Amino acid sequence: MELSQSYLILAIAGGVGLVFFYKGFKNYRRFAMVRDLPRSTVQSLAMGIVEIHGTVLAEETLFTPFSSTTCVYFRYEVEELRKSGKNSRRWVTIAEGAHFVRFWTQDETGRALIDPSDAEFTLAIHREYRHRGGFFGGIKRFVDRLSDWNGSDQSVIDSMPKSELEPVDPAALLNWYTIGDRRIREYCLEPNDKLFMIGTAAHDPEAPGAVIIKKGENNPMFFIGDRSEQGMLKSLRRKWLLSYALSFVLIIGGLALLLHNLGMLN
Amino acid sequence: MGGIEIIVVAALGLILIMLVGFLISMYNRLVRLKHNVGKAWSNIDVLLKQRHDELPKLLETVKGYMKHEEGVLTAVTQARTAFLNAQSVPEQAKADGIMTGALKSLFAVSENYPELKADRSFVSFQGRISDIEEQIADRREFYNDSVNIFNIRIEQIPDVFLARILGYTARDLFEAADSDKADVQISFD
Repeated sequence: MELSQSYLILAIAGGVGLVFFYKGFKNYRRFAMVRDLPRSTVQSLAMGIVEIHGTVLAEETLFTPFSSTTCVYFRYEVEELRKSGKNSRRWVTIAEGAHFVRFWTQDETGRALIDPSDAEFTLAIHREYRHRGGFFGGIKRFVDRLSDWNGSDQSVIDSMPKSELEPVDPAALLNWYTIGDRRIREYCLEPNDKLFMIGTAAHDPEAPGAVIIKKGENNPMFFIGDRSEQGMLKSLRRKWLLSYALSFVLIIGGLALLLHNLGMLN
Repeated sequence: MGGIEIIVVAALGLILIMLVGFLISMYNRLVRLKHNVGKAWSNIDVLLKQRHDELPKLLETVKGYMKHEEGVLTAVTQARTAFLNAQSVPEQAKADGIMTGALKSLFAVSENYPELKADRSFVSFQGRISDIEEQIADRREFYNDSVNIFNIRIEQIPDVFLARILGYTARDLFEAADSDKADVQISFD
């Protein structure tokens, strides 16, 4: 390998390593926040950052585009498996989107309104589909229509070419995809789903005296998940440990490669 | 310096940076936990004061009806005074317990006065104070959770070393004294 290539690899590995270091730091802060913040009940919410456990209550709902599930939030991703280099493959996102409506969260003491704008949702995969063959015709038209869809127009959902999509079990250890296949994933939050969230309780400007939970101006942490607090902590702990480990390996690995090409490593 | 030495130095340097970052975030976390306890306490204090401010109007309303219930009315007044004089968390917890007991007596005795129960002002005060009591109970739990998290953190390794340097000590929980958990004796004068 030429020396200039080694420097380039070190620069890329170092850069990516730093990105992972930063992500690890961010996930650690989030982990510490979730662990150190006690749960608040809806009845006695104090203004400021709060942690709430409840269930989803909806006055207004949407439909997920692929499975037509009634929900208050959905996100979809359409990815295509492409060749990457000689012997590897990677998933490339070719379409994605999300929609939400305001909803309520209820616990044993009452209910509170949630404005999920700018919230980070951590949800399990609701449905996964495999699409084989070319990306044209009915499926392409449908996916293109989704980019302008408001989440409630039934006629758009009715135009989905169901026969072209093959349901896949998202919990399976291995789902087989070949180059050129598309993977469609849907995430959603349904009425009566269990909810764990950290956000900012503030006065609702549209309803004097009422409280709304949203993204805070002074505290950007706002996430909503369908796992329990323990599940969230486990996931965050895994993320920050993995990020720091990857960061370490990438930076040291890039340096080792450079030194090897310089003939300094024997 | 050989290649291996450079790798080792780089790895140690990275570990040192991570360690410094860890120490900084440990310090920040302890500071945040300390302030969480303060904020949780302030949030109870707000409700205690709200309840405290409702009481004179409540007493004025019931006095006219419950002329012969001096003991019950005096207990509420004394509980209010105890709250004003309380300084520390244990004293305020004790005062809160006394007040809750006195109000329970007052509302229990009011059952014997149908005219009072029909009085709109009284019903309104009773509803408001009941709501405040429920919120106080919830925020008391929240405060105690905050204190518990702080107390555990400053005694666990490695935070215990930094906590000692910073002079952080365990905080008191907001809990009623045993005497205040006993059944309330209602006397009809």
